[in-house]
Amino acid sequence: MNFVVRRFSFYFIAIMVAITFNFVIPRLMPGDPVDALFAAAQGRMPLETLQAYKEMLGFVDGPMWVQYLKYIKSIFTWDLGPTIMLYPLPVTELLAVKVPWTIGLAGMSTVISVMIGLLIGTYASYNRGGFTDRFMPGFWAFVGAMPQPVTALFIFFILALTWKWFPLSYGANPDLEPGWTWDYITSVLHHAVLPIICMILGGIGSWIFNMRNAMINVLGEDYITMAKAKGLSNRRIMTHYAARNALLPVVTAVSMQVGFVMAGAIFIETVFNYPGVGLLLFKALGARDYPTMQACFLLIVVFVLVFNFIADLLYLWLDPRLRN
Amino acid sequence: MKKLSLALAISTLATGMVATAHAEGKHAQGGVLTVPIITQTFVEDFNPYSGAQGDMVGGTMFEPLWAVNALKGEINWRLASRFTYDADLMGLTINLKDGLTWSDGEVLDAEDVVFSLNLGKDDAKLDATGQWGSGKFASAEATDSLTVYIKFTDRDGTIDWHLPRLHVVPEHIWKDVEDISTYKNGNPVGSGPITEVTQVKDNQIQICRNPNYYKADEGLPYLDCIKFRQYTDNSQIQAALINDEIDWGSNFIADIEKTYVAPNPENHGFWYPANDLINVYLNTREAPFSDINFRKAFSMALDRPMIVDLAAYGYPTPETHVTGIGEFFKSHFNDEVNAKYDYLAEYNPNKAMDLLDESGYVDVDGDGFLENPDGTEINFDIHVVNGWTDWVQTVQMVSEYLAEIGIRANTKTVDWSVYDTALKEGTYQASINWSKTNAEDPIQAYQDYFHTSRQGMSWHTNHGVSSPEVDALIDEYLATSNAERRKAILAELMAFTAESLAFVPLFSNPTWYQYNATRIGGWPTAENAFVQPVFYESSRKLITFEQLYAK
Repeated sequence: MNFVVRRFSFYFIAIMVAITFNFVIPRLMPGDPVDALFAAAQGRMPLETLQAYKEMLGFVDGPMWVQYLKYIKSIFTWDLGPTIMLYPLPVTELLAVKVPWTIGLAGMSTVISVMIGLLIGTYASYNRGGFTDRFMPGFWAFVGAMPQPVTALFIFFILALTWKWFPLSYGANPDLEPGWTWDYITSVLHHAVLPIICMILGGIGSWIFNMRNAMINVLGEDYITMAKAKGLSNRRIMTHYAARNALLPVVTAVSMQVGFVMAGAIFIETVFNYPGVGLLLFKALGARDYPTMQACFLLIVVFVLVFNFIADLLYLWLDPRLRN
Repeated sequence: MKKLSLALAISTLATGMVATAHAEGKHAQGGVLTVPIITQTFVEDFNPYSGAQGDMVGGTMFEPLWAVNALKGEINWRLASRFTYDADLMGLTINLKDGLTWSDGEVLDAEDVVFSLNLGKDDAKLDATGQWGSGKFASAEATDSLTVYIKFTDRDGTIDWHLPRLHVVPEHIWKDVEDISTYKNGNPVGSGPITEVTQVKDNQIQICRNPNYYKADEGLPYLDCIKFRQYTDNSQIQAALINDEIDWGSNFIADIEKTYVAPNPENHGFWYPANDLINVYLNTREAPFSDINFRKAFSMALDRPMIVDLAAYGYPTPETHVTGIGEFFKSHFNDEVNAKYDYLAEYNPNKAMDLLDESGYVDVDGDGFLENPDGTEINFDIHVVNGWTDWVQTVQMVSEYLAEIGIRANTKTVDWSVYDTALKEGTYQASINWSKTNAEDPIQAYQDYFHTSRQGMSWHTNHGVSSPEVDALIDEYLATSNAERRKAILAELMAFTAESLAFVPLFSNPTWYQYNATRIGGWPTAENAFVQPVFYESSRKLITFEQLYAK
């Protein structure tokens, strides 16, 4: 229990630090949202509306520390104020529309790439020196090393724009009514294929490496020799004796990966106009939309920390030695 | 799903009946126009004052009093049938058409117009015409059910330019709204050709035919619906245009002949008529720009057609005059004034070098670049906003042309806020910017260039050139309705602009406009130029939309 409390207070402090940074960093950038709005309008907007906009968006709001206290209060009451890009739409409403898409995208792609990666990693390490072991880790590391925006644009250009196998944008066909209908679900899946492929291409290499390395360590242990001596089948040794123990460090890696997956989502959602948080964050940055930016960052920080906390608890369950 | 299609079927049926009852137009009714909107997500918001979605409902849902078609130099009458100024220019009478109704069947009369006008009286955010804020309007009242009278605080003959921006909203609904600036107008009632919202999703909104449109007996509108699609940037719109997913683009598309037109030359087209003039503004308070001969040499050193071709894909129109207005206002060009000063806009590096030589600019230290007559080095920055790539390339070419006549100039990319402040406060050396040369009347451009009341507010006024005489001329122009006098004042201002050369004109920006004739016909083109096709301006959008029909 002590362990849980200690971890929990650690995460609480981490969140406080993160949300403070979250407040400070956007305000260090040059320019303010109203100026950015004017820049984007390229002269279409009459000058007289500038002041009106500033007032409307609450940017003549007193000293920094008042803004900070208001910000802390708003976070704990989950009242994140109106967005700037889509004034007066509340940030929470906007996020509610976007979050499910990103969770779906990030979740599906993480599950798929972890599964494939672990299988390949396990197989490669168990058959050391074989084709899989020599070819797969290197190949996927190479693919993963390509910048994700480039991979995404490449796939977009060939499969969506030129061959027209997949749609150009959105999470589903806008002409369909959302619901549990066959048409809608297949449309969602059809739209998700390319973004998910891009995310898998970017992430799978590290899973293969993680698993392969963990396995190689475990395979040197005495109990593997013992299992072999008992005459168990290779398959049983590989999955039940080696892989199970090798999973421990991989659990940590999964929780760490959540942050990277979100970073990847920014590029991929932008290329495919996928209606998720990543694209929203990217556009909010361009528009200097502080409330939306802060909410997105906050969401990512909370995500990463929650997953780390879950990983800690999982560890406690997986590894009895930690319980003392 | 079923419910919606049923509702759609009923509404199509209903509009179908309207169509058979009235169809006397040139084209059959029917069809859906798909246009892109750049936003993060759609919301159920049909308030024309909403910044995010105002573009969707301006004009087509809320019909203007009249529309100014600057390309034709004419007024397109909409809700109003005419306006008349008082003889002393202290007031304006607007006559509405008879028999107008809102889409819910209620009568649209002068009270609605007065209500809409008065919204802006106490709330700057709802001051669409800007005339309460500027103190020009004294009061607005309905003298009878079809007549509106606006009283001014001062003589003014230009109010009719601003009234098309007014959103005429239904008083019987909006009078009960507490805070109009945040009002969502969820179930909208309008007066324009399309008012009935049939679909609202985060990436698509569809608005269909107004059952009580006042032009229904002319068979208008030909199209049944507009389908707005949400995109987050230009590149996605480019892809969607190429794949025939949308019909009307208003965006920059790289290498458009090859990427868009070539795959389907019969139906894919674009037309980029001239828009506002792009100038390099020079801060005449400091050397070397304080010398008019230097500024003249600067202007003559530039090969404008080459800049347009290389830096901007050839889409803009190179400027051939230095009188402050561009191709957009070509109907206002004054040939006499132009003939006198056009040589300043011609590419003539030899003449530029001679002029510099005569004025005492010599290369003292032998580094290949000229020094000021007092021996100090010439080395200045031309500001351009980081990321505005076509302008960055333009400025780079300007610097190269200047280097050819021995002037050292640097392209300086800066952040918007730096650029914005420097232009407004006059702390720049040289800076590229647009101008107010695409509004209702050329005087607005000169007001923006020179009138001292604009200093610190506008990007274009703080170059150090102004004079009380010019202020007086501009004020006189605004307060007269005498066409001859106006023409004479414009000629004087043009000559003043060319003589002072506080900014060097480069080219007229193109109006970004792409059309897809696969499903929809009637598009404005260079051959069929009935309006400057700007989607983001409610009047011109409405004039364009009215001519479109399904093939």
